[in-house]
Amino acid sequence: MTAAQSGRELLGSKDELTLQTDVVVVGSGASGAVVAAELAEAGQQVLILEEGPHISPQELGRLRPSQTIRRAWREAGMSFAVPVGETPAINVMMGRCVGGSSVMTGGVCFRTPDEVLHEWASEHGLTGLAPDRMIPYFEEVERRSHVELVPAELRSRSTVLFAQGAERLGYALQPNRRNTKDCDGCSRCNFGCPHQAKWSVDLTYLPRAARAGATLLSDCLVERVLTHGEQAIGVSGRLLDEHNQRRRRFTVRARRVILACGGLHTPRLLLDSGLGEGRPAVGRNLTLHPSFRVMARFDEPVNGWRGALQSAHSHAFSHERITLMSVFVPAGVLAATLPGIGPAHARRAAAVPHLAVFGGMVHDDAGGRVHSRSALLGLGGLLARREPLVTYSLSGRDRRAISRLLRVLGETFFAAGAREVILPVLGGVPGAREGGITADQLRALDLDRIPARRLECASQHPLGSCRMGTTAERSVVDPSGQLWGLRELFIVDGSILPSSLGVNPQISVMAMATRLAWQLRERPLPEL
Amino acid sequence: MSATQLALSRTRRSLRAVAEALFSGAAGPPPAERLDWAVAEVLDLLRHAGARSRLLFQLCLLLISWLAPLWIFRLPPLRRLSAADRIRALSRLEDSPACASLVLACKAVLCMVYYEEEAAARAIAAYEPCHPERRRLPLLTPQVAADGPADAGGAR
Repeated sequence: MTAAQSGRELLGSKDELTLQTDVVVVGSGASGAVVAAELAEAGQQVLILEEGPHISPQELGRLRPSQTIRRAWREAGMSFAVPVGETPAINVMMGRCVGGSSVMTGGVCFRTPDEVLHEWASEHGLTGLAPDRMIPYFEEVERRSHVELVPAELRSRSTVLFAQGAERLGYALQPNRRNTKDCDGCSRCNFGCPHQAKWSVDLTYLPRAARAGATLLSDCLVERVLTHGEQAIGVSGRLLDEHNQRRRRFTVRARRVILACGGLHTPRLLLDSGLGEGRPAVGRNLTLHPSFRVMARFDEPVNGWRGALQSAHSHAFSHERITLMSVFVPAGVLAATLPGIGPAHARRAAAVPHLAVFGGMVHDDAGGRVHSRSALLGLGGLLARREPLVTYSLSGRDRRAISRLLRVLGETFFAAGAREVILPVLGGVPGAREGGITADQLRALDLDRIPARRLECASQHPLGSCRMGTTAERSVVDPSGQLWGLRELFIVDGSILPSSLGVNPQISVMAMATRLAWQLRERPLPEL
Repeated sequence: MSATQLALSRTRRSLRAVAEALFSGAAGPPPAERLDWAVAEVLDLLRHAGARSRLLFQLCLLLISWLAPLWIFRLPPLRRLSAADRIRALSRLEDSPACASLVLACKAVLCMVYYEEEAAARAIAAYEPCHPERRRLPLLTPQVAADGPADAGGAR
């Protein structure tokens, strides 16, 4: 095998492919890439297995957004969490390619807030995660990923208008930090940067890993963790063809197994491998950062796609568990969210250049769960055959935070001079004209009374479903990242974060992975 | 014809009927080839979406096809209605809080693809091509790994 190879190139034979290595890392995203690079540079033989394909930056540049979604987003962007109770259906977007979701993010970089780290140290007993002890890891990943402030001139007109409204209401936006260099703001971050301006891990850590001797195999689906007694000894699965169909079987024997499949697929892999038994926390405590966006129509042309996709944020309402975040979506998707069919749609779609958009996320309670396929009966099990079945239940205080978030976004746009705002409510709100409402209508609207299931909601941050802790009853991995009760199986991705962050998690995930990798490189490997 | 092909054919016809109604302007429907292209693109997207998402989308489309005509007191399926009636039926369905999510799911996928076509994007003044060729080289290739480019603190 070469340093980076597609499983499709190995489909020629029907015999089972058998490989052997020191360390097998499952997943090549923000956490897997970090651990692979650190361990390879420490002299360990590392094999990285990635379910998705490798897509070069040139190729990304040639693809239209919907083509990127097909190639590099999991389930072509159609994954969702099933609502339980008074909860919206949440579209959960994740990358499925070499580099994982780091290729598809807006590049926003926040350190884990100090209050969250304090909570992990005091309430979860994870004293090693106290703020002062995490600083070296944050500094390391920020240096390697070229984290920089977004300059004011890269702000889109949409964000500039929102910032003006915020200032008039007495709060401010702060510039985002992102892992970019020479970004010229073409607003395509979510579809992979065509200019290599976003330093996702496929451009930073994975080449480092490759230069240190690591091997990456893409189009390669891991289906099981292999164990012997109380020790993990490898993984098995299938190589995928160009239609993502499971083909040739493979087995990897490894002295150490590291899972980095993300907040939904790591618990799924544990459960499918029978490792949920006796570990009640596997798949539970999932947090999603439910996210919402509000649109506003201005008299002036906004052309919000010109500028950095995510350039500014505000923590002014973090005490209400809300983070405001600049965002934009492709013009076609904006057009879709405006009401109207036929000529009415054409008329409103023509107003897309006049729309500004701003978003926000809720620092949520752990209302989600990843279910085991075997635990589901009938149709549920069938529907969870390839992808995990995820359910999510919104807590009362999260619901109230959503109402507050929508009101703040709407009021800020009106303060900036918007003609009308369009709330993300399916079927529109009472009294709305062509989807939009006036400032007076917003003031009179009781947002808590809108059924949550009618809200349009998205998430890009599934976290916490295999959380770290100090007891096997309440957590899945110990403070070193090792699965309780099974030696040599480590989890390093966002699923181990003990609680919701309230901010974009990329740097938190990478810093945690760095911390665990630095511990692992000192830990002797067992005999195979 | 296999069950899969039958389902695909039905999905194509239903999608085409929705697309024609959705994108019709004051001057009538857009060129047939543009609609055919958009429908083919959506079907390709569904192929990549996986069985579960594909099934749910098809279910959604089926519900639209059979429920929307009832909203204007016509018999289903939607594709048998005139374009004007389809527009009325889908508009009513979209205004209904209970069924709006069905319409949005279908509309979101169709619009995302449809407005990627240059003429359609220009119609909403949203055509701004990127210039992807102006920068560097891909890094994660066997040759690069062997040659060892710049340090990954810099990675380029």
